[in-house]
Amino acid sequence: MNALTKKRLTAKLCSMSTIIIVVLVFMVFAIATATTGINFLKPSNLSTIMNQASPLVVLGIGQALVILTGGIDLSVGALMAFTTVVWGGFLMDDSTTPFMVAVVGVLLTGGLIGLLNGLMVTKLRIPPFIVTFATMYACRGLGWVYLRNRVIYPLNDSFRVISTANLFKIDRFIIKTPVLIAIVFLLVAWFVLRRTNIGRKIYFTGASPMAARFSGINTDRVKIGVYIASSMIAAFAGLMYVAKLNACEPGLGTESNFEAITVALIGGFAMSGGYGNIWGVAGGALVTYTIQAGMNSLQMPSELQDLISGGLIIFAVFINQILANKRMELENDLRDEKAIQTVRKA
Amino acid sequence: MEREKLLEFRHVSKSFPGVKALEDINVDLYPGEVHILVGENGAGKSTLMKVLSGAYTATSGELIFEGKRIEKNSPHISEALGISMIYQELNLVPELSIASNIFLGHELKKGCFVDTRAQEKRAAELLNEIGIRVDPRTLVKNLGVGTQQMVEIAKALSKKAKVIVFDEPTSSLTDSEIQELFGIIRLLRERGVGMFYISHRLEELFKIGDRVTVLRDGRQILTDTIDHMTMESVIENIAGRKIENLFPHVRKEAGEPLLEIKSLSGDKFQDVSMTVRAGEIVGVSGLVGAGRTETARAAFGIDPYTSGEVYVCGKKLAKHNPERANKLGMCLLPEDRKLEGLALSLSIRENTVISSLRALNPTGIINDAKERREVQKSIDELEIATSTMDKLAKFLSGGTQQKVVIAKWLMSQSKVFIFDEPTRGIDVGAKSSIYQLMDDLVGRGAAILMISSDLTEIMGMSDRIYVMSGGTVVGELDQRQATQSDILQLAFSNV
Repeated sequence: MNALTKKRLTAKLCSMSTIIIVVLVFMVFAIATATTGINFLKPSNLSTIMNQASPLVVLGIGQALVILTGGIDLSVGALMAFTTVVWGGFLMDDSTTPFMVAVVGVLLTGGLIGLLNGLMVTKLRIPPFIVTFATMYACRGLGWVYLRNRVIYPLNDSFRVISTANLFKIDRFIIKTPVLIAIVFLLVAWFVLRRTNIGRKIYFTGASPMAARFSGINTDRVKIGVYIASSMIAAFAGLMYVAKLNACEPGLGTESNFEAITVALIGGFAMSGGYGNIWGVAGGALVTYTIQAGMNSLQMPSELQDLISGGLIIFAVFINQILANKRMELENDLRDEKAIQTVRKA
Repeated sequence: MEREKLLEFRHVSKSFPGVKALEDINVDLYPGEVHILVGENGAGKSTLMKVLSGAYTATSGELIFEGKRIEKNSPHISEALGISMIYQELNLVPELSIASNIFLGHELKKGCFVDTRAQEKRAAELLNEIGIRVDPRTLVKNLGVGTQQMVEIAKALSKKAKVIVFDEPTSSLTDSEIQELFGIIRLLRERGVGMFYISHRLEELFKIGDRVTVLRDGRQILTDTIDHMTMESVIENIAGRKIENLFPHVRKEAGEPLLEIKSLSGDKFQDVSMTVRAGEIVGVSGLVGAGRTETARAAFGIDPYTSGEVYVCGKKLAKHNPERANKLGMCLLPEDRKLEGLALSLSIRENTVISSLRALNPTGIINDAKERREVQKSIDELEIATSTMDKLAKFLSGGTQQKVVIAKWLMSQSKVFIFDEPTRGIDVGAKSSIYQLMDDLVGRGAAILMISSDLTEIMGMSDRIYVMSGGTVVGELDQRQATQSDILQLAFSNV
């Protein structure tokens, strides 16, 4: 194998860090569970993982957008709970109002909260961590105040289709609507980020906020935009969760903000902004959910699960950082060599 | 009488990647001497002093202190030897008392506790020695800048300093505080302390200096006693070098005014007015801190300003709105390319198109073929040295990075260019091609305002020159009548 092919291969491997982590995680649990007599890789289990990880993909995409501009959104979980609780009445089985009213209401309320987050971050210049931290508590509190200790259920069956309908089925391998929704979200996000002017501005703002301003980008508008998008996407993910649970309650998604950040980080997004590939989110969500499912099937205590999740985040971010730099250098070398070869041929 | 040298730099050189910051410097210092270092910004004065303090390690050459070679210098070692630095920005802790500040890092102790009373007593003695009457228990934040500086000197004395370096000590002092400082410096001279004194205020060197060393571009131009020098000869030596044929600029017919800054005032500048016409390169000269960059940033809209107006191509600019300035065809090429000019982790292509997105892709969806074509055109036109347009900006050299920033603005059809230090940190080859580009730009009817601390560049490229000092425009000169010493004298006039 010559040096060039070797370099190409390493560059490829470096760019697949998330996939490698996914494969590693699956292997670890396949082996670990095999000792207890469970087949972790059986079709029904795999399809469950895909179905369950899908809302996490959606949530992760929203978070990834914010992280790309150098921000963070801690409010997504509480926002899911608040928006669905407020509009949940219209989602009920016996509601006479069409459930679409609730869907639109949830999305708009989410967007409004995102707008508030964005305005506080850009116009009041409060760090995103603090702004969304505060919004998180406010939303959660409002949800409890609004609903007291009631729970809204059962929900309209035709609404619940977004989480429960089977798309196709091969024996025990059943793919449900969330997978399709996640794929649609991924495709749209990829298109916006890589194929539109808006995407260019989002990456540029995150990569260098000062240079973006000098280049005439209204960075405030870009940031407000991603907070609105992130919140609306989270609100939609909230709908997916309540449809699955068949209930709206203020305690929904207490872990979701951290899960969303984990998904983006394992997916290869840099907290400093401006770096990351949206497909990584799919891998990040798979890993995050697989670890939970895997540890559950091993019947590990939840404290230990948290500990392991924490360790994994550190590990994944560390690996991603090293690989990202290595990859940039390798790809740079490869581009140079390719250019030299084209010149020689000509 | 041959006195013993206190300190000696022997053949000291210091290189940074791509730059020779110091080249073969031989400077010495006698006990009780005030040795003044002068030179333009970036001439190497601070670098030389950082070699002395141990913040930098010299690439070659040696440092002799009291006849012994300092083998391995570090801030810690130089301090232990009795070398103290007093910087323009003072290094005191505002929330602590004078006494605690003086003994910070070398506290007087009783057992393992700080002996506050002994410190206060000793501090009072030290302050008394230099003739300052303040209670050593006063918190530093309650002192004026002048007194704070005296505390720094007392601190140096408490460490039994034999060499004290003053880096622009008078820049924020009032006249009476300066007199007080000079009094203390004379006192220290009598006590045999050797002092290096860096200043932009040339008249000070005749008041307080014994010897002068002029640095330029990292080289030692001369070292001589003050009696052998005049103000004129110092200025001549600071500016020095003949203008080489580096500058292709030919004066064009000036057209309509494209950039008009009218009585702009802000935090760091007052009542600044400038006009640049189509086809003109107008230089802005002055010292660092004269308010040039601040004026440019405010005019462009990066920072707010308090009063005044800016017109681009006859249209009034909104305050604090670079987006609008851009749309009207104005751009600013910042001094700090890496931070403000480029997104280093993105490619040449992404950096080049960022300000022309709407023109290139009016539907909002990226037209890949068209973008590539346009970017390639810029790369060919500006002769950007790269294998491909997908190369990340961080892998490019300084000169090439600057060209990418220029390419961005050419693509966006800008008419008014503000260049802030366009060639800082760029090698001579890339420099001349950037000068050529600037000349081409004005040939096509653009207007250029060029901020530069490099006098040769100012003289070589400008049609007209504004000189700023202390936040205001102190002079406007036609390049044909201006001399470097005129500019320097103006630049120092309002410091």
